[in-house]
Amino acid sequence: MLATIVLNGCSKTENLNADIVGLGGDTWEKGPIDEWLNTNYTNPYNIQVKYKWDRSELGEINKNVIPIKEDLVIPVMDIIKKTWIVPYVAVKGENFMKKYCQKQFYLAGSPSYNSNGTITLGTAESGRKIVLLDLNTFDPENKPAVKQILHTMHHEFAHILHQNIAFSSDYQRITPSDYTATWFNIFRGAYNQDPALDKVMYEADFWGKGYITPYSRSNKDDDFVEMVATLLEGGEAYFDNVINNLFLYEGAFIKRNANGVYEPNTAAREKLLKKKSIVIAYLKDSWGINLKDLQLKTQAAIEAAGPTPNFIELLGPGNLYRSITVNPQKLKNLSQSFLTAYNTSSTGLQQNVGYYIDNISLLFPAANKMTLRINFMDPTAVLGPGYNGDFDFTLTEEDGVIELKYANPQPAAGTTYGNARVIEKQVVSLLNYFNNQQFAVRWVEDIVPQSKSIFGGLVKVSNPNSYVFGTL
Amino acid sequence: MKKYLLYIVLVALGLNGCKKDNDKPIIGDVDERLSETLQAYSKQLTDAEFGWKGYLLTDNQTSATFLFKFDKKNRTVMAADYEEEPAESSYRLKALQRPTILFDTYSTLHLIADPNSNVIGGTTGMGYYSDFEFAFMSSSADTIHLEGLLNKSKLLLIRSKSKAESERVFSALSDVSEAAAKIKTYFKRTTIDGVECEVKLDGASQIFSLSYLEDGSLKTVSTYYYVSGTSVTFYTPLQIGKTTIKEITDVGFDTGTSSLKARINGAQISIKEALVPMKMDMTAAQRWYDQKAVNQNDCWVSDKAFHAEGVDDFCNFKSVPNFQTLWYAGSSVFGQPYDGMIAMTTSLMAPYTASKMPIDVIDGKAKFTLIGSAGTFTGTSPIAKAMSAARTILYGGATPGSSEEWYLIPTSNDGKRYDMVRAKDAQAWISWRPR
Repeated sequence: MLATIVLNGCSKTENLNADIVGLGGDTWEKGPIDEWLNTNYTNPYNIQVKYKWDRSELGEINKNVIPIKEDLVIPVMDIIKKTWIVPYVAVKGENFMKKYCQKQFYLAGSPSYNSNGTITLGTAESGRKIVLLDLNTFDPENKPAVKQILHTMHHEFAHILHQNIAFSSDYQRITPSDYTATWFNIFRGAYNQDPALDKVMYEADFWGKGYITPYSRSNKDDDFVEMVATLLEGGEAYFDNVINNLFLYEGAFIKRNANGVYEPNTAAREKLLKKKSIVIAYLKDSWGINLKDLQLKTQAAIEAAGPTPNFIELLGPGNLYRSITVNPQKLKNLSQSFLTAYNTSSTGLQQNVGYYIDNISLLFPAANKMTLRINFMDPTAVLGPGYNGDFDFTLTEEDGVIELKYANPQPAAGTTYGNARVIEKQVVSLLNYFNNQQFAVRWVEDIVPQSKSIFGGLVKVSNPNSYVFGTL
Repeated sequence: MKKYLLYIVLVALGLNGCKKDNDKPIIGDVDERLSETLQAYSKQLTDAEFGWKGYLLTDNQTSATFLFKFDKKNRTVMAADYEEEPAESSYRLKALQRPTILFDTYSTLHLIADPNSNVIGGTTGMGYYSDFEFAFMSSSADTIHLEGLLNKSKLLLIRSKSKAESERVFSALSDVSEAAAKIKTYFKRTTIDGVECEVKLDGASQIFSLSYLEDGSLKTVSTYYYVSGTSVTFYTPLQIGKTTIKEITDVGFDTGTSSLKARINGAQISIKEALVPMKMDMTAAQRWYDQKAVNQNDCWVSDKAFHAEGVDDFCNFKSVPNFQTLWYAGSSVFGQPYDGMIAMTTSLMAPYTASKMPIDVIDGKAKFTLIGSAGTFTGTSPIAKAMSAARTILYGGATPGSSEEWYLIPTSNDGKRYDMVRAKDAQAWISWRPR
């Protein structure tokens, strides 16, 4: 027996040194992009960034997708490093990122178009690889687009975290019955021809049900990571503003009592806050990450990557923002002196004329003019948009400080000015809040952290503790 | 005994297993061959001093012409007829199922493959059904046939022989179209292998077609083509009689004989003027007229108006502000008992003509008779000049009673596309489509 076995093994020599074509990866002459990626990703974090076309890297290989433009590779990867890797490293250290981060990026230029009409902007595969699509429209100046990429990054990385350490099953019990495979049917325009009503119905379909994004409704895992991603990419003020705007609606209008006090959507608020608290506890207990700290660093990094201009530069005719809307029922942290003026006017109006103030807005229709628009309601009438009373102030600006003077006389023509005459005697406290006063027109992130581009405000020069701010 | 048997079997097996050293592949190691093939293609591509002319036909039949240069560092510089500014990008050769060339970063070639229709158009999600990963199908020293991996578009690379040839790559197509346009008649006739053929060369959509009579009925064969130098080459060969035609070479206008000279498979052919259709379609004029009433808005429209005496848009409608289409419309448009010709700009616009309603059909030809005109046909305004010229062409005159006869040539199988050719000399024509 032994002899035969030895004989069997004797004579064949295999060539084990053959070069198999393509084995060991593709090669090409390295250029400056390859060097940059080596220095910033491959060497420090062992991350491979593939930007040259390789169809096999796509999840669905039979789609018309095209490669990324070469000159966008470094800008995209630079901003991802600064706003995703660096904040995590600052909170958890280099080794954490080296161990858990995705090991491969694949970049492509166009989105992947799906048969159901949606487009895919990115995919992730079991914590190994991130595919980022639609990058050829990337513009570092376009903050919403940049934030969308970061949202994808933080979304996918949060998947890795919970795939390593699961989050509490309490999470999926918060909104157990509203997960749906057809979440992608939630988009603006899907609900009603009237844009205002469509917006209300659209938002009610996810925020109103306790989900932070339409995608959250997909399943518990995506819900969880959308929560993480929104908290980090959107920031604290964004999340709080979502919560503070959740009310119950009657058609396009918020339900309210005879005094105009809104009925909050308490259920949705509680659900979202509970989800947030589970995210906070999970990050702290499972990973030792302080969400607030990470959020702060991510937001600071986003701001540093593309600084937001001063508010006054963005406000006014021909600019991004034309108005500030102040609705005390939707805002927290308005100054006491402003609220006193506001409430005095509203109460006086109600007692003497029978109307209440719903909200005010400050309009900037010309360089030398501000219009205070008081939106007031008749509680005996059917719920509707109410009436606008406009009060003009002349405006002079110097170095970001404006001085307002009540225009005398006020314009006579027009319904809104006519309305103003009806209520003007009752709203003196509001008019006086602005008249003959100097205000710094600025962001208010010292009052509401991380609120740049969400809230803009007017802060009294004579007393910085007296201010008003609102949505843009 | 059983044991012995077992031993014998094992020994036999052992001996069998030893004789294995003559299995070397006769044609060499497969990986070595693949590697050599890729290196050979790479050398072929990078050695072309003046670059390669590229002719692309995408899966939705969009044609494009390119000029490529490849260097040894995986970089390519390319220009296209739709983006003539040369731009650099990267490429690499890779052994996929077949030897493949990947244009692996975004380039001019990717523009027509881009599924985002905001880039240069096409269908959302598909672009123009083009490719940027191509397998090598076949090659000779100066020609490489490539096929797209995803959409199966065809890309032909032809080595450019000189700087001058490279410079002419984007004008060759229009040069041939212009030479063909010197034959002033709509009908262009030649004889191929004893078969008389009607020739049509559509430079805009790059379609070449031949029509001939077979058993008394008219047959048409057509193909997409590209033009390299003075050769018109077909993406699909055409068959006429026993002759297979892959390309028409040495195309040029011969002033002496007023004909287009060319060669097919080496044999000289001459494409000449012809005044009548090869086979008269006796009912086409009536069908055309009846279809007008079925079409939306009771009309036929033309995007390019009249071609006449060798000139496109002879009446110069493009000088009319906001010109869209020229209409031949029925009574429901005018609200009067006549048909007429009228231009569409931002709206239907005076002046317009009134024709006898219905048209007369004489020997299968449509006869248009002018019965009146409305609006200002005189003066120097662009629309007055254009409409005045168009009236003279359509009716053969400007005074009521003038009339002209026209052939109607169906150009689609559904009866919704016609070319209309002036019968007396075949030197004026117009293409009609439903609105």
